[in-house]
Formats: sequence, C-alpha cells, structure tokens
Amino acid sequence: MIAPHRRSVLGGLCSCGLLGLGGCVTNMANEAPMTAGYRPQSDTDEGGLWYIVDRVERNVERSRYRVRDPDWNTYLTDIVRRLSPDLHADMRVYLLRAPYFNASMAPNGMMQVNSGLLLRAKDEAQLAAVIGHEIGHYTQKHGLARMRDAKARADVGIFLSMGLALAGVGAAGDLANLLLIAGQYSYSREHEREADEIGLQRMAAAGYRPMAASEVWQQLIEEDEADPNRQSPSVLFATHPAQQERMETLKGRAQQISGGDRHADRYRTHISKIRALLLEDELRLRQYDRSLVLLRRLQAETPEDGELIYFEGEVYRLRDGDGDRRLARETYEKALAAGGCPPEAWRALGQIQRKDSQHDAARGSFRRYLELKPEADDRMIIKSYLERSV
Amino acid sequence: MVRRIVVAIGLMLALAACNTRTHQLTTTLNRTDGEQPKIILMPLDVELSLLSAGGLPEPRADWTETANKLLLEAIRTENQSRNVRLAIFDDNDAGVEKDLSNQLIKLHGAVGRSILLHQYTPENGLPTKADRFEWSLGPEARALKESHKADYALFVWMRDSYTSGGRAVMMFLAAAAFGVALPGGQQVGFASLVDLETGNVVWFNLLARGNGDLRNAEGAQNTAQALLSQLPQ
Repeated sequence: MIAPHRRSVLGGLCSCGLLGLGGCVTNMANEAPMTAGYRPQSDTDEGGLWYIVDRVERNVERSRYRVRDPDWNTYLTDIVRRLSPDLHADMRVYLLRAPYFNASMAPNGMMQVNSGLLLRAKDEAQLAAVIGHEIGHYTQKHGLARMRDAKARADVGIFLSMGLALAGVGAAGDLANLLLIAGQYSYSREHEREADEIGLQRMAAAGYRPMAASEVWQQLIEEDEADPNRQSPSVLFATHPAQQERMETLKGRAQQISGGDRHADRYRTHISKIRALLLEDELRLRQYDRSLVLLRRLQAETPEDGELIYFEGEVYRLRDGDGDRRLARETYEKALAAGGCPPEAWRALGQIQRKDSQHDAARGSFRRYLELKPEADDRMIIKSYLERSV
Repeated sequence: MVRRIVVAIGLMLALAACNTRTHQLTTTLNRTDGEQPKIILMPLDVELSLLSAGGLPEPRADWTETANKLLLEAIRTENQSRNVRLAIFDDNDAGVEKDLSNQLIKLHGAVGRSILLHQYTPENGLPTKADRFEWSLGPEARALKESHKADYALFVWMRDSYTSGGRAVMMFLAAAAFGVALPGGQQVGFASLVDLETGNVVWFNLLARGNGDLRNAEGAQNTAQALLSQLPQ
C-alpha cells in the first residue's frame, strides 16, 4: 500500500535528477560480479539485505505452495548446474505452484520458479532461457545495485523535498517492502538487458539452443494479444523492456550464436508427470483466451495428446458461451479417441449428455468413468446419478 | 503499512510522554495444580536497521544477530524474578507438526498487526469490538500446549532503528531551516501472551520510543523490562 506511493515519489525525483541535481544517482553503479562461495560481511548494507532475504527464504522453504516433487527439484537443479558450472552450488531453486509466467532471483541465490512457467515452456531450452536470465541477475548483483540506487535516490530526494519530508518519510515503506513486494524483484531495464545477454551466453555455453530465449517472449506476446483484458497482472511487464523489442534483440543475438539443442523429449518426460495439475491451476485463472493460445501451442507439438485435448474441452465447458457446450462435447469425444486421455473426460462428457437429455449415453459415460477410476472422490455422486436413472 | 502505523503510534506515545500501552484480559495466569505457569517463548522477530539520510531503514545483520541473543537472554533474566517458568520454543520438539507451528507464528504476526491497527488507533477501531479486547489465534494453538506442555506462548516483535550521521544532519537542517521534525531512530515493538487452551491473546503490550538500544546487554535488559514488566503471573 505504501511502496507504490514511495515509488511514485522516487519516479518524480528521478526526473529531477536528470535535470542535473543528482547525476550520480542516475548513473547505474556496477557491482563487482559474484564469486563462488561469496557471503557478504554482516556489518554491511549487503549483509543486511542478505539477512532479510535469508529470512524470506526460510518461509519459502516451508511454503505450502512449494512443489516438493524430488524428481522435478533434481531436474531444475541440474539445469542450473549446466548453466552455471561456476556458481551453481550457491544457488537454490524453489518450484512454486503459481500459474503465472514468472521466475525471480534474490540477491542471496534463492531462485523461485513458477509452475506457470513450466507449463508455458515448450522444451528444456526455453526453461533454461528464463533460468539463465535469472542467473544473470545473481552474477551481476542486480539486487544490491537496486537497493543502493533506491537509497541514493532517497538521500538526494530529501534535499529536494525537505518541505514534504514529514509526510513522505513517515510513510516510507521499509527496505524489505520495497524489495519484496509480492515476492518479486523489479530491476531496471538496463539490468534486464544485461541479464538477457548473460542468459544467452550461458545457454550457448551449456549447449542449449539460444533461439529459445526469443521464442519464450514470442509466445508470451501471442498470449497477451489474445487476452481481451490486456492489463496483465504479471510484475514482469512493469519493469521489463517492451516485450517486442526484447524478443527481437534476443532473436538477433541468437542468430549470431546459433546451434544448440532443444531437449524437447527430455522436457516432455518430466512435464508429463505434473502437467495435469498445472493445467488445472491454469484454468482456475479463468483467462480462457490465453489458455486456448497456450493449449493450441502445446497441441502443435504433440497433436494426438488426449490430455491436452481434454483440457481444451474444459476451457469450453467453463467458458460456457454460445455454442460452447457443443464445442466441449466434440472436443471431449476427440480427446477420448486420442491416447493419454484422463478418465475425467468420460465424466465431463456424461454431464453434457445428461444436460442434453441423452440419458442412455450419459449412463454409459458415467459407468466408463467409474470403471477407469473406481476410487474417484466423487464416485458417490456419480453412482447416485446412475441410480436415479440420470 | 505496519511501519506507518507503528511510527504514527510512536509519535502519539512520544507526545503523551509514555512508552508503553497495555491491554489485558487477566492479571493472573492459569496454572496446573501447584505449579508455576509455564510460558513458551516463541522465536523472536527482531530487526535492527540504520536510518539513512533519506529515511530508508537499512537492515543491519550484525546488529540484528547480536540483538536476538541479547534480548533472549534479557527476557530470561526478566522472568527469573517472576512467578513463571519460561521455556524456549523448540522447532524440533515432537508432537507439533513443523508446518503448524510455523503457521501459528505467521498467524500471530497477522493478528499482532491487526491489534496495532484496530486497538491502538481510535479512528481504525472496529465497531463490532467496541472497547473490548478480543483477539485469538484459534483453538489450533492448543497443539503448542500439547507439544511443549505449556500454558501460554509469548510472542515478541521488535524493530529498532538508529540514526546515521547523514540522517542526523538532515534532522538538524529540517528543524533549523523549516521547523520540521524529521523522525530519527525509533524502538518499536510488541509482546503478546497467548493462552494455549483457547488460543486467545490475553495480554498485549506495545512499546514505542525514540530511545533504547538493543545492541548492548544493558539496553536489551531495559527493553525486556519495558516490554514485560506488566506481564501477568
């Protein structure tokens, strides 16, 4: 509640700074890059910053939103090791169940990866592109630079706004608030560009296809364009360079590097174990247009995947607009004909048949569901449908 | 948000020339027959920072670590002369699921902030509570009673900031040039006692002042005394 106010204050001061009053503030100070095993002295500003994020990390460790699947955690740790043979031992990755495209890096080496990012990546190289970018923030100590910059701006600001000082300073959010709003770290655009470049170099060195980085942005642009409520909740868009520009820069750079692997099969093996859960989370956002773009992109990779087709049917069922029921029904039928379709498709089809008064067909679908999933949580209600002759 | 409330309360109390304000539901603690009441001291939530010229508190890890140790020791000493038994919360203690105790600690943080907001600033008072002091962590708190064989849990939250050289200059300039009083370092915090039978907060004390120093043993003892001298026993 306070931090945005503070930010607008800083924004105003920034333009004053450009007028020549605070030249030192607007020039970004470069921190010495990170070294292996580094730990700041506890009597420094950096030590204080680490102390705060260490505490945050203890909460993240115990968070209910953490995905604790050992297989996935090993897989992510391995990607970090490939991208950062020099510093991987100082970084820790936490996979969080959050259906948004995002990842973040704290100054102490705590990386958070949202499950929505896993769902959106087509292959391991795309996931590595985002992780490589976050590693770039860590190696260049962008978090520390950001904190020092904020402090310098506030120091300059107090000269300029002495008259307003009582109100402004009393309302200042503390550093933890400033840095940890919603668990995100917002870095300046320069930092983003630098992290993009470092990410690209690390991808190439690790044998990942560098073009994957621009693809990630291209995919996000496509989802955005499909979204009627363009105002995205993602904090990324507030601070990151315009997506289009960023995508094109990355594309141009990747063309100079070229080569590398996608590791699409390896990625598919891992994602298939948790994808149904991630898709359920995605649908809870009720952003059906975005979800459809996402599902069609995934379907283009594996056209005969019954699970993906089933979730497309779910989008139509939940959207419930004109003609959606018919569309849902056709899609469920297609899903059931394809391989890997979850039993829930029979239940969903049965519900539609029931609404359409096709009682025999509905009974058949519900029976099939119970055969395939005899221990289903909702078996009692499904049985009651069957007993009441639907 | 919390800082704003706390600073506002701090200024209010400073003007009223008193350091603490207490709410309590009881003056005597429950006890198992013939025994002194047993209180578990939950992990302290303490943070020390340096106030930069511009007024941003910059966390100091070394001071915070020292203050944690000193304050813990001071709270122990403070309770030696009282008719209670103090035990330190042990995360590894059998019985309570780790996550539940962590959730209780976080819940207490939220309840404590709500108490500060609604009980200490009249304009934010809740109409349904009127003048009653009625806050609870809920019956789940009993898990702590069982795991630690304790009657009460004591929570302590402290934020202590110190004026940097630059800030001192700013304060002087603001006063001299504009007649404006910029806040300098402050010591603010609260302690609350939770009845582990019901989960209710039975005692709550707010400390807010422009002096005090948690970086040395004497200062920590002074703070522990100011925070806890009214604790029921």
